[in-house]
Amino acid sequence: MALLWLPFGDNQFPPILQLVIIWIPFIILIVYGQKIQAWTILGEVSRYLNKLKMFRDKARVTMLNYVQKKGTTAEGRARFEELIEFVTILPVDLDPVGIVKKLDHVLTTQDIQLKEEVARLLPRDSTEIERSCALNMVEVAAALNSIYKVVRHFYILGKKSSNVYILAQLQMILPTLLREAEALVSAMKALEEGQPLGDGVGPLVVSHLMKDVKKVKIARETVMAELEYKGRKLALIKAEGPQGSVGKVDEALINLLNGHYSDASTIIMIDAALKLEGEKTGEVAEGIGAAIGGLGVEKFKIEEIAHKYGIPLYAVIIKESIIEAISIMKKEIAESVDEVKEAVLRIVENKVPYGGKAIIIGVGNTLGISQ
Amino acid sequence: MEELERRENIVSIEECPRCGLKNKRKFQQGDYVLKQSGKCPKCNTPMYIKLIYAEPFKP
Repeated sequence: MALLWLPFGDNQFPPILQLVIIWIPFIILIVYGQKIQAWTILGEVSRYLNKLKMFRDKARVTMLNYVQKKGTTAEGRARFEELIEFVTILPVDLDPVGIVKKLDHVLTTQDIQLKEEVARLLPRDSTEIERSCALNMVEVAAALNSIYKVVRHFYILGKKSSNVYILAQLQMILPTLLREAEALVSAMKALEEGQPLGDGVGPLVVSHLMKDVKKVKIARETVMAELEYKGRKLALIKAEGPQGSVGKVDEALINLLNGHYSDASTIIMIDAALKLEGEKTGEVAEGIGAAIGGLGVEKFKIEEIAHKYGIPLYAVIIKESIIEAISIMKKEIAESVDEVKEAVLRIVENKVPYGGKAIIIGVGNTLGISQ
Repeated sequence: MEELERRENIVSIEECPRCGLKNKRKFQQGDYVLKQSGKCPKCNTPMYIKLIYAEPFKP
């Protein structure tokens, strides 16, 4: 007790002040400390939540304005709003045997269903590019809606229970989530105007390689072209542009390997890859393996067919952040094209014998990139 | 929100397939990579859009 008097000298500090300044706040902090912390976090989370709501509404309005501009009816507009809430239930993984096939089936059904619905809601004379842009916008608006709803769920849960641990977890991930949401909103502008996304660097490289040769359709929304390079035969694959699509590059590869390219010496995949913090955007790296993202269905199929035919898989990746991948393509990424082309052709020269064959795949969304 | 939209300039880079002349211009609605654009001012060959990208906004 004597210590409490110390800063104020002997008997100079009245007991009532001691109680008000030291003991009452001390007791309040002990009893209500967690609640006070929860209130502070709630305030911060609430500000983030408002921003997320603003982003979600902005994306929704942009999407609805776009489809209205393209001539959809009032009913169609209402249906587009419903599509934002569209859900896909992933298959059960209690028995993982054969799950990839089931997942492929569910995702293909979802893809076809959404595409058909968007095509039905837009006027018949709408172009393929307009349909794909509307579809991509629905997907972005749905993603933002989902982020907002999940954050709101935990916010309300934390508020109801005054659970500081739920709120603290939310507070920790919210800055990252907000950056992703911001990137998604800025992607809406790119989608509206059909501008290439950072993820499109793979198809961009392949489009430059196949620029002057004849293109044929090889799988759904996927094209291929054959090119002679220093005595080697190259099959180039990319999604069909300039509409926004990732194509079916796995099916295209399977078709080629089950056809004229079963004796190919190598498969080279070009894709945007997530960079680590501190790495430079647009940096090019070479490696081994199937460079393709997503839930893993395409990757599984590509690895399986490559293994079946015993063909090595090479990867050329272009580093970028998740935000850069879903935003308009940055200068550093676009300007890496020549370096990637050189790397790919170097692999061809080193790994494919004279007279041999190689398959080169540009992976990613080909919005704003033709062939 | 406005700030979010004005942070970048979107440009289209045109290139002449014959003489290699490059021209940088503002992105126009309907532009896409490999689209044929204007004629080359040097050799009169049709140019094509080589790249479309965003660069930091300069007022």
